[in-house]
Amino acid sequence: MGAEALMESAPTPLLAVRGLESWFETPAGMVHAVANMSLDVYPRAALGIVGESGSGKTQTFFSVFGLSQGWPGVVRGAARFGDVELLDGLSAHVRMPSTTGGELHVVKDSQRWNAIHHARLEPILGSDVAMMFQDARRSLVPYWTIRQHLVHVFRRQDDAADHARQAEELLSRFGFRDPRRVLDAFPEQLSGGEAQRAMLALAMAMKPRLLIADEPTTALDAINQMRVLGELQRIHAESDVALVLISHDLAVVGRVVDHVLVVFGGTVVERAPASLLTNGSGTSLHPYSMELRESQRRRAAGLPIVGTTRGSGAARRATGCPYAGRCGLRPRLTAQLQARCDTEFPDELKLADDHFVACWGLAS
Amino acid sequence: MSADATPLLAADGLTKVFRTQERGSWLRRKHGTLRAVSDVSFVLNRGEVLGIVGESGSGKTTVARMLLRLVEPSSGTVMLRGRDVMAMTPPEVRAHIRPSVRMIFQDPDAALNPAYTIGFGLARAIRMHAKEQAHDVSGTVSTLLQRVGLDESFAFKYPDELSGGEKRRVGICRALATDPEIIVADEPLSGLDVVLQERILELLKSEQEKRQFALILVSHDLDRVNQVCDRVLVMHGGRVVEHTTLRRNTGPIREQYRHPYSVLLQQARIEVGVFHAAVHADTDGHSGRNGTSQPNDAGCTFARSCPRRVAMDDPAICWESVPPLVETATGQAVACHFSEPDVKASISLSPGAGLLVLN
Repeated sequence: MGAEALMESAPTPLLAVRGLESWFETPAGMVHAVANMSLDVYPRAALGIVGESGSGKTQTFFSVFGLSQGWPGVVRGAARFGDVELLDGLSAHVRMPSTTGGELHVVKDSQRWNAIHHARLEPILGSDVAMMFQDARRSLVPYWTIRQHLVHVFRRQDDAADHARQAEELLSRFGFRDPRRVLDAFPEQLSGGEAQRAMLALAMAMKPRLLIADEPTTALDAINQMRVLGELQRIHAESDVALVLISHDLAVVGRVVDHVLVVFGGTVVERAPASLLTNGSGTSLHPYSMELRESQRRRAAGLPIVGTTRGSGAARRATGCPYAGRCGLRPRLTAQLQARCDTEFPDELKLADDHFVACWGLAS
Repeated sequence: MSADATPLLAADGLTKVFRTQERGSWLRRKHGTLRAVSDVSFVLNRGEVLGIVGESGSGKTTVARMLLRLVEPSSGTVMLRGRDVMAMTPPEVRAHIRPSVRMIFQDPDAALNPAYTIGFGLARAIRMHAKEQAHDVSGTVSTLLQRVGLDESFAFKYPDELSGGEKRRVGICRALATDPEIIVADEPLSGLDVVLQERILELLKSEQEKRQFALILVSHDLDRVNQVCDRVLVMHGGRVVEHTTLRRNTGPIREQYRHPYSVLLQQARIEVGVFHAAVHADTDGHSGRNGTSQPNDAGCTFARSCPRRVAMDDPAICWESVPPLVETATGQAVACHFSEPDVKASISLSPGAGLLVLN
């Protein structure tokens, strides 16, 4: 895999994830939410994660930072944040005797696993790592005012400081014209855009080294979306924080970050500079990235929509390339390669120093 | 809008004033009023696709709900095939409105009964509202499910077993169940990823083309509306600020909008990158002058954030009188005191202007 090579040559990543794997039990059976996920987030970098619902983009970070709900959750892999190995030695608490015959049997001592995992996360979460989510009004404490949220954070940092003044200053830096009104408001009393920016201010109040923004603009209208993205851009430019922006919308991600991971079926199918994905033309991209870019182009041009989508949108394949079921490139390949798409997971192929793609069609 | 035939649906002067609760102790709590929708009028013809666009809080959902009498208007009328919907009794609404005007609700989790299987819910809708007595209800249910790209097994599933996209499809299914003349889709794409958005929109549009029902698409995403609609109402602060018939064969659609708000909405999508650190505004279009939190009731709803007003050196008229919706060209009406095409050219947004607008 190209990932190891990348690790040796580049500076030390702030967050390094290797071979992460998570499963979840649902009424429909076991779901392979994260499959062999590897990624690096470097200090001060802005990384975009793009993929559709269920592609595992959120679950990757939830698994690493112990936020996953459900059973069994993360079962193997390595994750290092700073100097802390988060998942080191935890594999002793999981047994996966067989994955043959389509049935997966997992034996996981979740209690032990979580106790160790959370103890390692304790000094990191909420200080070194901050997160913001899609719906701020539902993620904040409903019976706390914004002021209470902020003071709670400030108190952890310095008990003696003037927290009220700190809170007001912070909010005015985040573009609130009347910080007092916002500070005294409960989350439900703010508009969606205001709540989202208040949550961003709260996240930055923690002075994190890593900020993970999970679909921060999905629930917002165009103008509020622009405001939140503008704030993210400003943060990235002015502070030392490393930013991870998770979104299904290539256009959103492309405006803020320098580097993008395209995720499909729980794994990374492409790593590329943002500019290449949003407006590079003629370069070889993963067929799924092409689909995203085409969709973006049609939408921006207001082109009619009927007869444009293909495939069933059906879930990923269990074996082989997860995208094979609706791949636009696959029908144009030789029978031999097509068989490979169906049976073997594609290797990561290096197209340029900062451009990797996992596709048999492009490898040939 | 043909001269003699009565339109399928005509809304005239729709206004809704909600009563709100002010903050304070429960004993002294005062009630305020919120003017969600002011004087919205439009006509919908058979087989037409109408878009209603605006930001959150612009009143677009309230308009959609008033058409079906899910929200009672404070004033104004809705005529369905020349019949006054507002004068109907509840049984008449059930008999005439529910089967022929269907709504796809924004939140499918709230719209689907969690205790009903999908099939049971659909069968209920069919038994209640279908025009002809359906003999083979379960057959109809599976045909319906297939039309939206789901297989028969979904009839036996409960809503919480479905993914977001599948729930949207069931929502569309619910609407199609009675073979309606009008479908009102309230934010059918919100919360879906881009690929799913395209699929759902394609499904809606192709069903619309096949069955020739009229579709009202309520959305905050102007790009998506541009992709499928024949006509678009742009709403801001409860008023229609622009009413445009889209011309597909004369140049890019995005350049056809004339109201400064529509132009801003269109550009917000594409030019996100240039608004670096410039996007400071706190109260989403509802703030009055000088940062007071009073809506600008006397003048234009968009005056506070309007780049054209700034470019024109802040004319007093923007704050003092509500601009009427004036027809500027064939099929286009704009509510702006300064809507001449030559004025528009001079204020097209630049990165610098973005800073001006939102600060």
